[in-house]
Amino acid sequence: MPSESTNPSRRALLKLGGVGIGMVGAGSLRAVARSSPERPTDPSALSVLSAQEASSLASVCEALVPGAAAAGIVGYIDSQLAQSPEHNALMLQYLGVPHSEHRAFYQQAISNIVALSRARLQERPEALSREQRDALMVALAGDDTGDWVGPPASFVFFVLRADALDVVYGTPGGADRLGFAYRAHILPEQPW
Amino acid sequence: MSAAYDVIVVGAGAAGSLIAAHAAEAGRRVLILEAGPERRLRDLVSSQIHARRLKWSGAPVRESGSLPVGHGFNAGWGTGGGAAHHYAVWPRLHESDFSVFEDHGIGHDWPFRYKTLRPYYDRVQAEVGIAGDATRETWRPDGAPYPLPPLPVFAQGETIKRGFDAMDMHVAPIPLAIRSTPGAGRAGCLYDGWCDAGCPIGALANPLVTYLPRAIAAGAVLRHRTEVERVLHDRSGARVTGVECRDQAGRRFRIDTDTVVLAAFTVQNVRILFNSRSREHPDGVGNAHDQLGRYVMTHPATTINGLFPQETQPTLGVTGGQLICHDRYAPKKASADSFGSYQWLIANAVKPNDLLGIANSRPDIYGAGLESFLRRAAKHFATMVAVVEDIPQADNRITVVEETDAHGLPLAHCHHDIHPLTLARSVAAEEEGLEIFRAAGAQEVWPGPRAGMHIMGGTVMARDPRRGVTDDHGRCFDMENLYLAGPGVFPSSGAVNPTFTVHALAMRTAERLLSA
Repeated sequence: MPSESTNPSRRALLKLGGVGIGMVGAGSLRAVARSSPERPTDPSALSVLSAQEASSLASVCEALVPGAAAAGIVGYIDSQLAQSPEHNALMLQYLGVPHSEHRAFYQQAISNIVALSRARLQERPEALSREQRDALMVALAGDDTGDWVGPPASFVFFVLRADALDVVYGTPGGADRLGFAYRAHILPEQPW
Repeated sequence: MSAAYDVIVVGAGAAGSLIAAHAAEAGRRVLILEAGPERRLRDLVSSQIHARRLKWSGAPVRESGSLPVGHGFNAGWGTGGGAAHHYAVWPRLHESDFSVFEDHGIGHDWPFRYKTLRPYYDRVQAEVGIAGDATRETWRPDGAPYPLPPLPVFAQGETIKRGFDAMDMHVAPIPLAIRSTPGAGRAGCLYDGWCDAGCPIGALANPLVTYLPRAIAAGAVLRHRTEVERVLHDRSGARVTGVECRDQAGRRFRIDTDTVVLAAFTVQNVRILFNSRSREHPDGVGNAHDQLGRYVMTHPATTINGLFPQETQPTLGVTGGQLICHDRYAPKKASADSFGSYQWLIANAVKPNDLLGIANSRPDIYGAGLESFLRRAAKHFATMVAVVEDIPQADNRITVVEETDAHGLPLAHCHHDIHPLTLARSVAAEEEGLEIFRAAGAQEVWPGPRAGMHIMGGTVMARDPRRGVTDDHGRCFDMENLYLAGPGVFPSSGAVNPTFTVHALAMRTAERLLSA
């Protein structure tokens, strides 16, 4: 028998991702996060994010999409935030957030996540255990976030996950990893 | 700097390129002004990340409403405009789409009927090439058969078709402006699903391989990174005399012309007209009766997704899909509490990432379970999308706001609410889609989000100047030598992808422009 989402929380999160739909809240999730060591970020390579922001961002994205840290999620987001609107490739542009607001979005998102992590778990995200990071992800997805400011946590969850998906699976190597045939007409010289 | 041209076309997308080609081939001096950068086929690299650079990168468009139109996804930037990344799904509007108000007392009628537009559909498809099987489109209005055989149906299409068969619903190959066989200097499709990133081999009919080469060959000049800010007019206010532009360095200059065609896509056309306000047009050009920007529409679209026991080859094919169903296109008023036609576009080729990718169809899956889901989906995933007709509403409107861009020009704001009758139709379609997938044998099924697909209206055609912005040829009521082209002139949305109709209307506009 086919199964469908009957969990109202899951249904709410499944509404995310519509083009320009705005921000929708969601309840708890069923999937389990897995943490893995992140590649240390070289602060001198960053253009927009601070070293601390980069570290927290990497840990959250790794929890969402394992392999994101090694695939260069921090470098991807940081470099894109430094680009002009014409050269920015972040998916955030599809989600109703103009280019001029991208930096503020990410920096506020990271700040919110760090604050939540400290308030609930007394540590920054990168210092959490696997189980603690799981709990943090569930809180984000469910908008269970206390004094959160700005776009809903569930929207931030969607965006960061989408970014992490890009770096891990949006390249020929990533597609091969899944058994997808990439079949490029013209291979990009750079992954982004 | 000024120069004299017979025709200035604003925008190098679908409509603009066609009009420019026909005007240049008729001997007119044509200048095409494109705000974005030059793109060549070799720039269309196979990457969903790089593909986003084909989308709108101009001044921000503010959006609001219960179903925003999604300008950032739907609009283009650079040579080819939105058509450079469109999926080439080219069905015709149905006859019933032209008389929605006469038939149901809802929305608007077009100022002509299907039979008026039919010859232009036929001519465009002969020029561009559409692959399909008209004999299987039992719902199709009268028209010439397609010049190219249909694209093949792969495992995903065959899998989902079983569900339609089980529900006694009929499908046909999607009519696609994609070459199924090489010809006319263009390659045949390779079925690798990179349409959203732009087709560099010319199989898909984007302006870089259809009308822009014709325009250039006939002497049209194409200038990139030149943004038109305003249309200029004479002292009477009744004739356009040129445009005011801004180059990449921010320098403003005027270019004189005998005729202007605004083909800068729905939102920017309206923004230009509002920002062209003057003493003679205090509320903006084309707005003598407060109609400018009104009736903006978008197709509410919902995906149905599933996992099947058999392999479905979900990456094979084209992004627009393999099969189409219009069985439930009519009647528009299927129940008292819903309204609108809808279509199914079946078996879209997908990628792992990106907004329409497999992973984002299940945003609730992350962490350890994600890769195993994606590995399974790589072989067993299937999807289709319901595209529903939108009801034009007066308060769904594009306006300009006090906030300005970096050059002091007011930004556009687009408000769009989904009508309750439309929402009900969309919900019913979603339920039907889930049932179809179950009937096809899906082990798991789930709907995607409801999102806006395509942007239409804002400068609607009408018979009465008090009820629209342009006449039936796209000529602005306020100015006899100003034309508008693109989906912004649609008085109703129908439930089909708009690009074929955009081309047909543009061809009719070009004829009128050249006879004036």
